[in-house]
Amino acid sequence: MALKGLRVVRALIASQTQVWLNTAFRNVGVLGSTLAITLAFGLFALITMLFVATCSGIGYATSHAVYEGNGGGAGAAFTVASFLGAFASVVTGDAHAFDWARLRRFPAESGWLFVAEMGAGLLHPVMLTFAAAQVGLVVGLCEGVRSLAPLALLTLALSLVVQVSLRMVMGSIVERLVRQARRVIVLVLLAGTALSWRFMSTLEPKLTPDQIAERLANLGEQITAWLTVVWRSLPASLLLEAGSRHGWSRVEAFMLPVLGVLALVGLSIALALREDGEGASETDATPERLWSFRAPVLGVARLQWLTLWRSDFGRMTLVTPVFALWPFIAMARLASSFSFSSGLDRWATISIWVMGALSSTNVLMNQFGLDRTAAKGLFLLPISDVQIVRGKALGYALFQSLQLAPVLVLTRFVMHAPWSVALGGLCMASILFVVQLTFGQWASVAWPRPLPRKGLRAPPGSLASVMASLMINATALVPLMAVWVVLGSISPRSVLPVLLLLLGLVIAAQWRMSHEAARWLSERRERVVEALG
Amino acid sequence: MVVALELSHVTKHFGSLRAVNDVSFSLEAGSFLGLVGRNGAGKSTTLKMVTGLMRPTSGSIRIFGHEIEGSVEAKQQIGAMPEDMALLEMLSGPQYMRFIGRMYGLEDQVIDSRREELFALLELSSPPKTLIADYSFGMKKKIALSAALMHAPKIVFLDEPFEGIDPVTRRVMKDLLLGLQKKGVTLVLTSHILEVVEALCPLIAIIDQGALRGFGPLETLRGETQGLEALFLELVGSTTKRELSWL
Repeated sequence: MALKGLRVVRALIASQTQVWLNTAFRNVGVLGSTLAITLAFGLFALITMLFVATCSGIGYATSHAVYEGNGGGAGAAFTVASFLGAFASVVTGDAHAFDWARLRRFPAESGWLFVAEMGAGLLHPVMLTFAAAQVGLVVGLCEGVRSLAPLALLTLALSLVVQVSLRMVMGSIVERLVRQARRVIVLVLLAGTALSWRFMSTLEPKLTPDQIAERLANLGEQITAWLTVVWRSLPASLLLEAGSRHGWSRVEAFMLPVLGVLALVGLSIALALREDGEGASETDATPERLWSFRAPVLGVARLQWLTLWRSDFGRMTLVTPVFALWPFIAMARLASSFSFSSGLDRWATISIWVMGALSSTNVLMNQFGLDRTAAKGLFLLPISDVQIVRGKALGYALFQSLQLAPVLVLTRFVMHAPWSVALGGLCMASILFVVQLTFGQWASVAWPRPLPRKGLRAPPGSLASVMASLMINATALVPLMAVWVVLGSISPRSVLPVLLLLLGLVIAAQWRMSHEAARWLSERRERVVEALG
Repeated sequence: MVVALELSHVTKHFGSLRAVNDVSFSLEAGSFLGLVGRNGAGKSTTLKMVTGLMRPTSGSIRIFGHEIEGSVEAKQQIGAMPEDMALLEMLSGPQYMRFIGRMYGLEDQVIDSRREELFALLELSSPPKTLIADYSFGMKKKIALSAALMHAPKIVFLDEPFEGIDPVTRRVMKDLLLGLQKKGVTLVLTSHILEVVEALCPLIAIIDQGALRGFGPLETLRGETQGLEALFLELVGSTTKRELSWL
């Protein structure tokens, strides 16, 4: 039985890897794939080395505390790395490895499918980076105190299981959220925003600066005490403390929290399987009229808007920034409570905006993906390719506005960011959006792939496309951050006008380049039709 | 008598739509059933339920005595070719067959030898590195059929297997299916090509608006009507001639 189960795990992981490699070879050929893989590994190695070095330092610094029975610091580092790894991989839109609906027909125990999902869950660049960071922690701990090696390795195993599990739990939550009716999403967003605004407003004291300082100091002490309890209660901390204080006899008792997490994952997968088994309604109402030929660009924009609005991928881009917001609000609140630096508020705000803009990467880099076979219908219409390209751009812009509006409300009225910071963030997100949109117009034709309307389980993207989008985003972020940091320190008042100017420039460039993008589409239309069926 | 498939009061709702409504029938092992109906009649939904891809709203489905829901034993007996073929298109043909074979617990040598035999029989020849995404529609049908038969199932469900297939391949597939039936394999297929169903299937089920309108041996159902098409139109279709006003 176990042998058969292991075969299932092997079959699933092997097919996942083959699909990934075949996609890369098909899109950019053997030479291109080799180059892209080399680049990817180079980038991955660079980031990973930085993470590993930092975490080794943390591991070394906390090793003696762990040896003396205080596992809080190292445990928190393990937990933070596993949480961030899971969180970042969900935000980048890659929550699930397998198509569970199709797997239902195979004679495999769901337990083995679960193991396969866990194994494949770690085979993801973001997950591997954070896993490597945890390996760095182990190296640091062992470098500090050699005898901690077995305990550190066990903690690493536990932490990796937690990382994969969290990713699946968060992915399932996001997927379930986006599967709900759009009315529910809008209501929840509005209600959440209103409640948060009301709640946070009541916390804002009208006190003297001294009273504020005193209260903040008290709050800081309370939070420190609370965090200490939390850190010490984390599975990794408990395990490290148990191992170092009581020896191996008590270690197994502390594995229970991990089993709890695994049970939660099992439950979420069972729910996902149940939902798949129910099947989707085959009677989704089709709107009477999608097109308006009085203005073809507006007609295409309207179609693009509806396509995004009715797809789970589109809805996910709406949910992700708000989903990402709360950890940052907590971080900013904590930072200001500890009085570390008021500048952290600005960074938290800007991070939210960047996260919001990056969450659309998946649909922007594959602008025909959600059209699927309907792309053929689009090309058969008596309209020019420029109108298609511009119409799609307009549709995406309208959708992005809806995505960023709640972020503006939350950053301004819940995080109490100044208007200059909130609007500056909006400008940065908009610039990133236009850059991604422009590059996406080329990438979508070069590496098209169908995206599902229902569910978030897309076939793996082209490695070249992923790498290129990473580089484009990084390239766009560097000057934006330079403006934000350098200009912000020299002349804070000029940041917003400069960002507005940059936004105007990129929009003008985008409009101008749409002719080139349309020509590119005309030349390679066959490829899009062939790839999308 | 061994009962291969048993549906008992199976119903499936999609919101307010009743896609399958209180369907009950059973099949002996070695039967060959043709399930026919208009578009949206509930044929594919029924096949999805009997292959475990979809859960019924109510009722039960048994495969060789095993409840289909959650039963590994039941799924081991089934070979299925869904309407959308459910292929992993970014794998090559041999890679896909390896994947399917391993999922059914077969050894790699067995998978490779059976794959060669199936590909030769169905004349599925393409460079081994060609991805399924680059196959023609007919080739995709052939590989989906090969995958359904790879593990020697006792009951095979085929959803529209003859759509988009050239006459030569259709003939090969017909012979293959009839050969399987002779060996005791139970077969269920859906098709809109009534001549094929009539030629292949001794048992017919006619489904309309989710409900069974007729079930039994073709001769019994047909009575005095002229062939399956006439029977089908009599039970579910409209015979009124319609014309376009502008053509």
